[in-house]
Amino acid sequence: METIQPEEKLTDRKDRQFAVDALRGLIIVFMALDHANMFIAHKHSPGEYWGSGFPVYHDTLAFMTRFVTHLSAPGFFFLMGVGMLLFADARQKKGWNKWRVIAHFLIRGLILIALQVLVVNRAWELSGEGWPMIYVGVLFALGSAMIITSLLLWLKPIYLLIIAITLFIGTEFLVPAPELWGTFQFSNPLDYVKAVWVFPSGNATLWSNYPILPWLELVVLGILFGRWLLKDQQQAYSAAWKIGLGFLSSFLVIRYLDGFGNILPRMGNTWIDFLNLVKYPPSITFTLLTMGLNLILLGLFAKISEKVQTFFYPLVVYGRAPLFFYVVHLFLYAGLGLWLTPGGTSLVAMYPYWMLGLLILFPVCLFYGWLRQRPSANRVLTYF
Amino acid sequence: MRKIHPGLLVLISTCLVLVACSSTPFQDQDPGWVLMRYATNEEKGIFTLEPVDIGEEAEIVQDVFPGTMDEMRTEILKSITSQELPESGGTYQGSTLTWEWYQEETQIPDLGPFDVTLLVGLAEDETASYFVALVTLPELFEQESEKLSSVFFHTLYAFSPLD
Repeated sequence: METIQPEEKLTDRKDRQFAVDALRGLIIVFMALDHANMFIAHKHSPGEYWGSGFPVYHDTLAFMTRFVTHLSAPGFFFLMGVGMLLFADARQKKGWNKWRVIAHFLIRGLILIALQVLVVNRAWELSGEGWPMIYVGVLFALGSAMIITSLLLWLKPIYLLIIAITLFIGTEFLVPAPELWGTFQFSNPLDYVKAVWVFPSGNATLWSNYPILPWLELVVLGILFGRWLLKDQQQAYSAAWKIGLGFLSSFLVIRYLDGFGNILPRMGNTWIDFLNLVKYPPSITFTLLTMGLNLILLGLFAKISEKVQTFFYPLVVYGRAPLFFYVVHLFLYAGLGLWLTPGGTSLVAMYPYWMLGLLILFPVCLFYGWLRQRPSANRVLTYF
Repeated sequence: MRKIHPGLLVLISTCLVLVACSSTPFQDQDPGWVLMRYATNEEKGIFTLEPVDIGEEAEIVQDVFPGTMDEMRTEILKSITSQELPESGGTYQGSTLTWEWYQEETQIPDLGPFDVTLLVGLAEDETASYFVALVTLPELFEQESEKLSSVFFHTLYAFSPLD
């Protein structure tokens, strides 16, 4: 059997970006914590929506357990943009033309959407809560964003920047006043269009948590960063944490002012209230804080010496099989929850289950990564 | 493939032991958060935050009084069995108002002949006085003081008279 030794994978395959894979792995681990909270502990809040009830935390562990997982969704969209650009560049060097690249992303985007509707939504239904017939979750939005942004891959950086900023600010204007929550009757098909594209809403037929437009900017930003990586990798990574600090500074100002950019005003004067932000759709403050932290982490991962990189090997293993991990971990935690904690458990008790899930998934992802990266790998695997 | 590292086996075993030990002893119903939502009360002229659900044995009351804070204090004393409000627990700075808050175990004759724990916040501006109260059973307050206090102070923070 053909094998790739871990050390070889980390240091010899220069075409891979360690920092990108490690950050993706880290946010995957955080995401798993969020879903373990839902399936195992049953302590997950309904979500930080623009209307409806907003979770106000009185327990630091409960808040931090949720807060760290906020890095995941923005990180996935951003890193998808980076990955798309690097993939397109690598394939074009192998002779693919633009249309072949776009066709690849079209197929991959449709696969993501199909996985959401046909497979992933079945896992959510195992949580026992009421789920709609069609749930528009993160895979749906990632797939749609992939299809749309594949057309933007060759735009000049300045145009990409303009699109990202326009979406970043513009989509916040499209969020309705909180008192309009629940007033949409969905008798008009336009309400479904808004739910899928503009702001989270829905009914028993369709519910959207990840409307496409407000998340699109992060993919565009990722493409922009990918361009920079190709041009000057060292400069891009060393600038990443500085841009991250800039994002965090902007977050502090906008959050302190408590006006535009927050979607909802702060609900209290504790540090938890300061960091407890509207995620659905991502408010400007949410994006600035989470992307600020993600970019700082990316910059830090890039500074790690090759010797120390081995220490982060498990993250890289998860980070190189993100879609596989995503689909499998949902069923794994749902199964563990149904089997071992059908009535839920405390947050503290949930943590060992989370760790156990990660440990089970490690060799599985390692094997899948090997399967996918070997030279004779089936071409179909490149879509997953 | 590489041999499985002994450290990994130790980690898996530790997790399995922890998982086995953690199913029932740590049952905890409090998720660590309460859902609250903003609401505008045009009739009273206030913008408030209210809990979506804090159970049947706890309630938040928010109101406006067309007088001074001292007059409002007198009105409050008429509706409870205590002769006077206890010493203030302190001031609390909300987003628009500064509140004096009190905690008292008393009876409210309108509710029935049983003790209740009352958290009361009072504030005033040039036009009116404002009142926020959390009413609950003493034993429930003892059990869930962190959660109920959080709901009370968040309500104080967000309470704003409409312009």
